[in-house]
Amino acid sequence: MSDFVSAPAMADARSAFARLHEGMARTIRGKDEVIERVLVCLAAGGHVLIEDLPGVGKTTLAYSLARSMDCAFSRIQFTSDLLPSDVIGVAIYDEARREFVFRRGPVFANVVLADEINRATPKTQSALLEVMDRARVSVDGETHEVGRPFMVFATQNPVDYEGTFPLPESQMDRFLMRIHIGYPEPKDEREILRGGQSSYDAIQLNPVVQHDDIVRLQALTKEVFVEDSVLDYLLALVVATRTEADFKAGVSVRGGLALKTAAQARALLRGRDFVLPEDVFTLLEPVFAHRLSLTRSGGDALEERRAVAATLRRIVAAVRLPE
Amino acid sequence: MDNARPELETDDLHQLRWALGNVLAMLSASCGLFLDLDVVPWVLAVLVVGVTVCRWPTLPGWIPSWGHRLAFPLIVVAVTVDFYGGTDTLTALVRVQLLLLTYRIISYRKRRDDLQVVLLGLFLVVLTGVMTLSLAFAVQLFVFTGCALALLLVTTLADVTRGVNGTADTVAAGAGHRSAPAWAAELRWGRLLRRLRSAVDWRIVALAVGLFGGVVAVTAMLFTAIPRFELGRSFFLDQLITKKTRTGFSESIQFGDVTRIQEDTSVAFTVDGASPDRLPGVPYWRMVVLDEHRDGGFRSSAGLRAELARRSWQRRAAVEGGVTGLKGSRERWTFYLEPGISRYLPLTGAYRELRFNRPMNFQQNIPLRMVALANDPSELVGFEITGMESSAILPDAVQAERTREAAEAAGLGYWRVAASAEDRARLKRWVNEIQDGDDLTAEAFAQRAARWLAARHRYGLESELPAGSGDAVVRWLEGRGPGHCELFAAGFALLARTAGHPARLVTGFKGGSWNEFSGSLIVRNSMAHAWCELWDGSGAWIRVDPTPGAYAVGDPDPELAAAQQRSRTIDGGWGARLDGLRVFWYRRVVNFDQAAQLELVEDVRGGVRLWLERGRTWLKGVSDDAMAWVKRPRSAEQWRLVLIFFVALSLSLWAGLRWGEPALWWLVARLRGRGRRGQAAVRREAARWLRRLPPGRGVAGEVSRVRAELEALRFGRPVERDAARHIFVRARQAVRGARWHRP
Repeated sequence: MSDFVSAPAMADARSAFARLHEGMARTIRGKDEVIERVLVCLAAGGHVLIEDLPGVGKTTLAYSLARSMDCAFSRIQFTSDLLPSDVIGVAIYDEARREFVFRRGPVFANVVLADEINRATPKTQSALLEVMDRARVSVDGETHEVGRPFMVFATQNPVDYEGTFPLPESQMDRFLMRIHIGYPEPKDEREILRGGQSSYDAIQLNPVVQHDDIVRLQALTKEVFVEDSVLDYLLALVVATRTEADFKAGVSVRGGLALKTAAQARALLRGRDFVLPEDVFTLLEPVFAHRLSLTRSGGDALEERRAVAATLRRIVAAVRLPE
Repeated sequence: MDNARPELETDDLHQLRWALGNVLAMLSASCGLFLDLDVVPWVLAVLVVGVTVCRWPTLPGWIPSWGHRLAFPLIVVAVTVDFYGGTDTLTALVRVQLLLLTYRIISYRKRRDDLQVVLLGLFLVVLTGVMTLSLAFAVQLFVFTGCALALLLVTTLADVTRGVNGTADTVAAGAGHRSAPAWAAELRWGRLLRRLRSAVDWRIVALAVGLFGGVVAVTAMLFTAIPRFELGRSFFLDQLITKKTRTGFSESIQFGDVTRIQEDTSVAFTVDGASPDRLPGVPYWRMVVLDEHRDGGFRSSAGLRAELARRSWQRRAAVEGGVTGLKGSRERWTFYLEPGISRYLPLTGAYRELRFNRPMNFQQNIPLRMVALANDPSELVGFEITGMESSAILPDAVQAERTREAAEAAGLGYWRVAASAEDRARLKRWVNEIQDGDDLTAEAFAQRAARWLAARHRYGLESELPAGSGDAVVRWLEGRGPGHCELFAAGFALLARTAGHPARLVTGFKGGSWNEFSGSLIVRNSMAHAWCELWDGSGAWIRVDPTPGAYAVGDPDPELAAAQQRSRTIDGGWGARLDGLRVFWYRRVVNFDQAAQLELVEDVRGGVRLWLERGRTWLKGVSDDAMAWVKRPRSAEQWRLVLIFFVALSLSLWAGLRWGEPALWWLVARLRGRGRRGQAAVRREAARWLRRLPPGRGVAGEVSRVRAELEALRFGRPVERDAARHIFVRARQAVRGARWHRP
């Protein structure tokens, strides 16, 4: 890590993020905060779990990001009969070459939309999650690198749980953030209605950032400075989740690292080469909420998510900010 | 980003107000313990009620409304009964105060009630001060003032907050505490303390303490500067009290009175201004002469009291004490006699002059060496004595010229043994045993009698008189049991009188310990003592101390006197420091009259002049040396060295001016051991400016820019102070600008 992020690098990063944000904002109206969080995930090299109702723009969000970046995009519709080979690919025998040839699955893309991930069987889910963790696929002893950058947008419906296989907590930990898109504001929805756009295929976006630039941004994120008192503050938040009686278990070490990287990415996104406490507590809920579950679960998923969020807000209010 | 310190809520302020009010009430009530009035059970009751209510704050809620309506009529009835029930005025007045304070403790106070608590408390504190003039008064006033200021501040804050947030005196729900306000029901001391700790800015507290200290210092300076006035005389409080002094130093004592006092180690009086080598090794502080043997005890006879009353002074500040001429000491000793000791002043003998710190009413008898104030003093008495003698031989010209018949006719009881014929016969038998057929002088008889007593009785405080009829002292003499100083002295007096030697008992104090911190002699109640004075038959009373261990007849020989001086007890430790502080209080507050004021001013002026003179002499010496050095002839080599020295000096000065400040900052950072080149200091300062420049203040764009830069200093990569300075300058400007652009 170098001592300083150079001013030109900072300016380039800020400009790249601004272009991406602008491009995506044209298709996802009124959701600046959601876009910013997606970009944070991108800069941090993490994956996003979008938990929302159907038809609020999950696919559009992923597609608009992929199109803005000049990156390969693929979509996998997860169902209960989907096999791991349908996701990662399969080795088939090539008669002409007289050998097994690996045929790449849809996961070989830069932005992968795993739609309704909880409808697939745990075996298929874990195949995808392995790719998410390692950014490569191993088939028949051969390792195949997936694209760089590599980002998975997984979606799931928080209401309809009939015939689903909920992701276990250990696998939820692989997602950097869980975000909600939510319904647009009436004025934004009016604009959407006026536009008449119905399918994400119809989105017309020109690439504003090359995928090499994204790799550079991800490297730059790691160089954003985190001062000791901010690190202590972050640690205090992590420890608070572990001592909080409402939670079954606190956030893992991976969770703490995720929050740090996300805060660094947000700082970079905002044109800073240092992290503010604000970066930390703003991202606490999207980064931590899906990693925590309540001691007394009421059965209603939405209610539980609200309770977790409320407890996290209480923790933020209780932990003293560095002055 | 919200960096603001958490604020106390209205309930917190009410809880704090309640706590401070109760502490103030208990503090002021405890003043009653220092007053020698019959209010101690009342004070203890107030303290118990205060602590109980603090522990269970909802208890006052149980008092029904008719209880509050009846409270004041009941207090009025209680006071009336107290006033007309024979209690002295001051005691009744203090009890009223304590009753009112108790009522205020057990009710949920409103703002005006808090003010009433402050006023009631102030009355008690000032009353204690006027009545005792003790050091405890200064401490209590100091604590009380701080506590009262805090209470008034919190009361005002609570009032303002209530104005903002609506009424806070909402009644808590539930039948558990019927009319307790919500803040009382929720009061948890631990929680309140934690809230206080997190909400209070300790720098503000430190500033407030500093300001309070400043006010105290200024008050002290004003005290030394303004003309004196008699605080005690400014009120009529001392006339409202009927003070009782210790029975051991009154005109009539029973056996054991003096011994009881010996169990008390508190200070009886202090002798200031005496040089340790001029003080006798074992001084005998005479207070009361007891001549009449009656009903198994000794007392001052009516004749002796009449002699004392013959020379009564009204509002007199100074009198002569029988020592005249050029011989003798002119040393001036200042006495501070604690309240509640006696109306008789402790004296070692005759003196040149006695001077009080204010005009007094008193009686004086020079041959008896006694001075008695008109009333038992309820406050500390300060007086100066010049040239006091301390010899064990007390010449008495009046007694020398008087025949036994004349003395007995005058009511004096120096010869009288008021005992039955049987007791007299026993005494006579013992006297014969002591005289052993010899015709002894008074002094020789004293020697033998004292030895005889010591051979039959050992010293002990646990003395028990043998059962039986007859005179108590004779019974003790007959037995072989231990005895205390009073019994030895009384026994000796009866034996001496039976032998035909006039004798009298004297009570007072013996000895004293030297306090090196204050340079004064401290005499404690535990040094109370009784001894005898025997008429030598030719014109003087000889001091005889027959108590074993203190055995002495007349003056000790010079070697023994010197040894006694050397072996005087020296006080050390914190107790001695406290006594030293007490003496300082007496010198500078109690006895600080205009003469002392002028003396202090003269001392200060003299000190300043002395230091100025020393400085001038030093400067002159230095300049003379420098001139001599310049005028000294030198070689070319030496001139070259001088030139190099001045060039080096100039370069050093230039470098200091150029890099001195950064170097200083570097040094400060190094000394503090934090960070490299003051980076930690930069972070702290940035944090300070961020707090002073919250978002939304001042000119929006400028504030945002400055805040962003400050945030970079605070949370960004380490920056040296030089690089940060211009940002702090802009921050200062932005803070100033924010004052004129409040949203």
